[in-house]
Amino acid sequence: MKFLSKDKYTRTLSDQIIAAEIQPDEGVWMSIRHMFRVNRAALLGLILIALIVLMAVFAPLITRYDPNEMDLMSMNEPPSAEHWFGTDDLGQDVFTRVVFGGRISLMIGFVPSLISLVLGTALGLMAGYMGRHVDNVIMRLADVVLAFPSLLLAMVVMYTLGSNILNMFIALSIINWAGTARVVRAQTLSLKEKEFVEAARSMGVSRWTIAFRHILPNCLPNLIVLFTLDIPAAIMWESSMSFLGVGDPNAASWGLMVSQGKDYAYMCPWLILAPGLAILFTVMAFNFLGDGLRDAIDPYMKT
Amino acid sequence: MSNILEIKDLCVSFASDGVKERAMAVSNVSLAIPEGRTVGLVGESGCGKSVTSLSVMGLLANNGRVESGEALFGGQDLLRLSDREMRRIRGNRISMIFQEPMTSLNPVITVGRQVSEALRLHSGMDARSARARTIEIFEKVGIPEAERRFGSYPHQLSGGLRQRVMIGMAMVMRPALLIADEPTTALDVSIEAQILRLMRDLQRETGTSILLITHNLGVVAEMCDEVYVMYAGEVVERADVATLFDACAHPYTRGLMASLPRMTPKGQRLYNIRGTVPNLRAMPSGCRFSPRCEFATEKCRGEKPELNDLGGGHLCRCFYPKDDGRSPGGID
Repeated sequence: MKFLSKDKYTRTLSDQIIAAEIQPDEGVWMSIRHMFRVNRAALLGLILIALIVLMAVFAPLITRYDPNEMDLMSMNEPPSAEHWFGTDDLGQDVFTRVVFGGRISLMIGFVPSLISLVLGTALGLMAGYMGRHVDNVIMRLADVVLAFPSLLLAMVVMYTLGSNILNMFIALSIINWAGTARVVRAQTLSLKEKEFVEAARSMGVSRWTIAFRHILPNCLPNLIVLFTLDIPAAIMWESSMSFLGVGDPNAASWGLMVSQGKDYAYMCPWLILAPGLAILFTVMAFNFLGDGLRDAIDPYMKT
Repeated sequence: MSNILEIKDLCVSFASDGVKERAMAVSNVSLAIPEGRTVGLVGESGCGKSVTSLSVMGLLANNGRVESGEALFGGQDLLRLSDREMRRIRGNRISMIFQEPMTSLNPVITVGRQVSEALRLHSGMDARSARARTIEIFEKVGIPEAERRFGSYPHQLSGGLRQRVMIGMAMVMRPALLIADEPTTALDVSIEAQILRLMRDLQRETGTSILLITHNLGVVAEMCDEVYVMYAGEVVERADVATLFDACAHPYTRGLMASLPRMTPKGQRLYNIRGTVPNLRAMPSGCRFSPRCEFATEKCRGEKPELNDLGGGHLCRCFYPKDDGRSPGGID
């Protein structure tokens, strides 16, 4: 008999159906790559950030001056071949100070954002997952932080603890964690009702394993976006505070340079233009990147 | 034949905000699952099917509480076990598959890892042998290119394949009992047939008992040896599958049977049971089905029928089991 048995026929047919059902590989990372191809602003942001980071890391190789070296023979000189961005009132090379200031400003962007990311995530996860009293205590604390004008709160912290860069990290972390905690809590609340969490429980997975292995990784795409948008915010806060005179006077960040240059701004605009533009480009670059990432990741969070 | 799971007089209640009285979602449900057999649990949405299975697994939502009863599994009462002891049983001796294969898998972890981690959790295997065993089980549940699919994310697989992964994950420890909560409801019909066949094949191989929760009588006919019909938190009828389809006795079951679409002359309307499931806080006195029952009498409205044996283990909670020769809606 040359006929296929009915069962055999249906079996091969169903195998074909199954094979056709497998969809081509795509994922969050593919979507991000696609986003960079389409969204030029985000790509520009990424390139700018890479350049700024490289510049800060290799600062001594880029410039032949020392950021603190004073040359009293050439004070407040306009930009020239010798001093690309001119010199300041102490005869220091402004380009060099912008390059080295990038180290401080980037650090101030990254460190408090990272601290508040970790802190906010931990607290938000706890609040959302444990609920009840834990949730109430943590979230009311977050409300208090968010109810204060951020700048005022950060300035109070700086005044109380003293003006140095470590306290700047602390101050910025304090104003930043609450937003992250809220986002993570909200996501945890919705994720813990998902079927896959119930499925994991039905497989005998323990409570905390579920929190860290199943819920947290699902928050990750949002956290990446939050992190990239926290960095420019932190740089802006620090610049504002340094401008207002509560920053670390020894950490020559871009904000401090603008603050110090403002007295001569009319005669020597390069003193504030150079660090001001550095802040502008850095913050813009991070915002472009963050917005692009959010657009790429959002559809994944909806499905 | 001994029973793998015996639920006795299970009562489960739920609290809701602002209401003092707890709603009884399941009342006095008794149910036995013989070794190696498939038992169906049938009923409308909200009649307590899933609540029954979830309370056995210790997975009730926070506002749910087991009021009384026991669930004997291998000599242990599952309802009295600590969370820790229960975790050792879940996924190991008893596992579950859910209705929605689309959402029952974690979207950010590869399917292979989800299965192999479940395996490692209970068997203490090292990563490499767990991987090998996972690929083996993927092949067994009919996932093509199992090795490559190990690294796939759930969204890269179709619904049918995801349900295969779920079944693979549930069966990987060769559990004594598999609870399948509407495993094919979200799938289209051709895939449904494949999945049901897969479950039967695996059952034949491993001797696992299955508790199949469904509202699809076609699936029941296909899969089950015995059937429990639930209505408003109670078992109203229990019969082996042949008896149920040949001679179901309870008006509710007969209504369900009559509402199956069949080949009828054009223009004839599909039968439906009038009314809706009663509110759990406002149960009718007497028989809970009486307000919707075509044959209800004064006695039905005033007095509560017991679950009576009609002979041969055919249980029915009705004063007048199929004795009038009529069937609901006049359809036979």
